[in-house]
Amino acid sequence: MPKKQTGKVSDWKGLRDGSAKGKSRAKPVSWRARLRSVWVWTKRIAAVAAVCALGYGAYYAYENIYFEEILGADSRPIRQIAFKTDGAIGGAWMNSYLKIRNGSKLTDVNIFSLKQAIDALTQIKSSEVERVFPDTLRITISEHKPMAKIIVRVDYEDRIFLMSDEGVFFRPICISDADIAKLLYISGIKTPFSGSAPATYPDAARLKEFIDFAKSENPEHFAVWYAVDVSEISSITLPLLTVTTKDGVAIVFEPKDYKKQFDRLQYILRYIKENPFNRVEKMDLTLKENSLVKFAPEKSK
Amino acid sequence: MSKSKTVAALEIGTGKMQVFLGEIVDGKMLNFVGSGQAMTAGVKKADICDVVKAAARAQAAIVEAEKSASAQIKTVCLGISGTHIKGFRNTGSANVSGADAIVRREDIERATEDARSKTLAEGRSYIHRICSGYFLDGKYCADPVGMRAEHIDVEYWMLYGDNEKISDALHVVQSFGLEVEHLVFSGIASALAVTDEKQRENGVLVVDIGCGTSDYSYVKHGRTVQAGVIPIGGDHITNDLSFGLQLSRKDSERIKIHCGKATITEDEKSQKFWKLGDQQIGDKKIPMDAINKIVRARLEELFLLLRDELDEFLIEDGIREIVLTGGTSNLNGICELASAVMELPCSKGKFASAVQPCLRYQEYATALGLLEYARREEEVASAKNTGWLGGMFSTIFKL
Repeated sequence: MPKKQTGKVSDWKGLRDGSAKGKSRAKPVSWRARLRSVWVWTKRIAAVAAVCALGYGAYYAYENIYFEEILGADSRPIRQIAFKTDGAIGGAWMNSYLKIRNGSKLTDVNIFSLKQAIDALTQIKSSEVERVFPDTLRITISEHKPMAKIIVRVDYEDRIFLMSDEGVFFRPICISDADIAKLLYISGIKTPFSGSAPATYPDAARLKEFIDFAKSENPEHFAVWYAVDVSEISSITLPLLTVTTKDGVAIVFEPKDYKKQFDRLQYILRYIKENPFNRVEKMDLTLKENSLVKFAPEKSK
Repeated sequence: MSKSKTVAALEIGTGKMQVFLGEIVDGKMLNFVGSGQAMTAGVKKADICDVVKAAARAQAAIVEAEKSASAQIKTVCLGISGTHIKGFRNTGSANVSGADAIVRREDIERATEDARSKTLAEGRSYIHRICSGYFLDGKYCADPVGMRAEHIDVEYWMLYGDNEKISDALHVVQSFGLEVEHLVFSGIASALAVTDEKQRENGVLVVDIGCGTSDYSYVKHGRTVQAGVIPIGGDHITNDLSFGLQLSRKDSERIKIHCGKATITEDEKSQKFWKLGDQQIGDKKIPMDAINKIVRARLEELFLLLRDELDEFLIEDGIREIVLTGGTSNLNGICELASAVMELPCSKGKFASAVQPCLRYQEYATALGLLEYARREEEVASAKNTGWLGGMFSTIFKL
């Protein structure tokens, strides 16, 4: 058997400079080659530019052109705005807010910008704007339900924000002053804003449980509650909720085992009602075996 | 859906740059779609000596071809020739590994690897490594797979060239932003164009006599057994006439074309040919015999050199006939002379019926052969990519 050769066998393919593969183009040697090189690059740049223009055109069309009109849907002036909500905002207010001109054609309305405007309202949880051909614009919104209220100082001015049961803070729209007055004030929240937008309160679920329990257990007494201090609700050592009634009584709750605490409160309220004591200043329902009731001094009787 | 590919065949010759554009459909059908031609510059004896000039002319021919076909090409099948091209025979061997002594594909692969793996001296690269045939225990076999033998030999004809010259040829194309898909020795390409399957099976020697060199290719059993370059071409005859008859090169070329004959009869010997043809002062009569002697001497030298190169195949009666092609093969009586020297029947190249009549010229043999070579390679490639999945993958990879 012949001795096998070792080493690299060279082939003409190894001599190709790879210029045609676009890696390192060999320098053109004639004016025709240079002209061709320019032509090839011009075509490539034109192709890239055309693809970019096409992409931008498609995006522009998606944003601005109403395909329903192009596709031949019958478009007439808006005759009805079908407004549907699960909250307090009324159709009239929404109309004045959106400022849809009378006689506007259904296809002339930019539903994307309408939705954007609606979603900008903090009270809106979600919204849907759609055209119902031939002449109806349907707006469906879902609102945050107020659970409590908070006063925030913004631009040297005190403003009322409401808090939903999901902990979202929002500015009230179409919610009557009477309804707002019925809501408990919340104190002890340090940063109700995250940047320029209102933040979400993380312990909203625990607070909601407390308020719901209070409303259901003793609605008459809940009616005299004025504020609740939640500064200690997340304390690791001694979590507390301090309620202040309209006549200045402080009631301290522990955010657990509400049944026991409300039974004690019920008993204390009934006992005070039956016996002529001084005005109560503070009730602490968090102790293990008993409850602490502090009365006002004699002179304030 | 039919798959179409446009390919260009470029022949960088000593006399002209020839570009043919062909459309290969499904790797089976070849349609001629355009052509371009330019006078050569920067090429001597088929070797590129001035890349810039050669590239300019080649690119002019490519542009002309593209314009004639209204198509833009990306890949080129480049024909190469020149005195730097040499060849040698290398045999690879392997013992049949199976206990049943049946030749398997692995045995052939081992022998092939042995034959192909010979390294060249520094500065040289292979252009072709062509399998000339298989031998089982010393006997020729067309397809050895499944045959019974103890030993298998594979013969390869290794055609190589000078790195610098090959790079120059490649650069002519690549500097134009085109890719060289196939680099083909002109002699092999010409053989594809002017012979048919039967001739290639029986054993044919194709000699492409060009301007600067003569490329030959001996094909037997459908395989190229030997190919090479003889450094004699039509320009040598012109030069000889110029020196011998004291004529300008231009007149010598004209005389060669119009009355150059490789063999003449006794009657023709006494004929005379006017140098200028106007029979005025300065014109002179040149005896036909003198012209014939000069032409004949050079051509005899060519065929004798060929005979020396292919001596072993002449003795063994391997070559059945000679086919002459290339521009110089248009000389009258050249076939008779070749037949007398080589002692074999000789004829001029005949093109396949598919070739358009306007292209059936011996000068175009190489360019037409290059297109045919590209078609065959495409056919092999498409046979590998069978099935819609393979086709899809190949399309994606091409992208």
